[in-house]
Amino acid sequence: MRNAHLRMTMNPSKKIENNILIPEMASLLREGKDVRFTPTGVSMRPFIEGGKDVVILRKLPDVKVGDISLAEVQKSAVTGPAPAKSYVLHRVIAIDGEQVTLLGDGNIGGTEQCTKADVLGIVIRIENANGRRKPLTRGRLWYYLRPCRRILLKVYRKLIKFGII
Amino acid sequence: MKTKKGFKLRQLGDEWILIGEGIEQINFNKMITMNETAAFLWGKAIAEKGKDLTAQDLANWLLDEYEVSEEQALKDAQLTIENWLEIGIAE
Repeated sequence: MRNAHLRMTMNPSKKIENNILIPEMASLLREGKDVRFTPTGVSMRPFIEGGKDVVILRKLPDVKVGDISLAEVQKSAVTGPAPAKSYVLHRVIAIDGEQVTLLGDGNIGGTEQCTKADVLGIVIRIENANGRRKPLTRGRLWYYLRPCRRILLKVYRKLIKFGII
Repeated sequence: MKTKKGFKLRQLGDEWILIGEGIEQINFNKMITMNETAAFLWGKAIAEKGKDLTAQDLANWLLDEYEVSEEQALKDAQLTIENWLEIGIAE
């Protein structure tokens, strides 16, 4: 006989770590299911608003430049003792053979590297908090605007702050 | 109380999670974490296939499986049902 102890929560994002949750998503994606979730963070601004927008991911046969992908990336070992695995939802900016380079749209610099096999799924749809579809761009113009990103993102933050968008 | 369809219970590490599962889409925004006991009750409840369940039904399962007083089992069962209704996985 075991002791009963009941506890239920509705706030799973704090309960379940990404390193447990994302492999589960990955296995569902491999089974051919679409996965729907709300990413966090500001690294995909202005295209995905973390904590609000919902993305739908699918495992596609190939990954292309411009795709927003959920990928397992190797964190740089420069500061830490060992390279740690982590997950990002970032845009593919270059592909060289099997090697994939990612950069968050909301990031000024700091790319991540992975292989095509580490791409777990690709965003096929973005919805805002009201369930309305947001445009899914390839981010090409935004990529060429990299030198101006800092100022554009600053303007974007102001617009959000004052409730204009 | 009847459990709603469209959720799948999965074990992730030490946690149990209930995920909204459509035919082709898995909704990680409709995700509820459960501990082992709650997951046990959910498993029992869905096995009843839409039968209208009472707190006493759940309490009986708890009494069969766990070292717990009748009074405590009924209290926990009632809380569980309230909780399920509140978060919308039962009606």
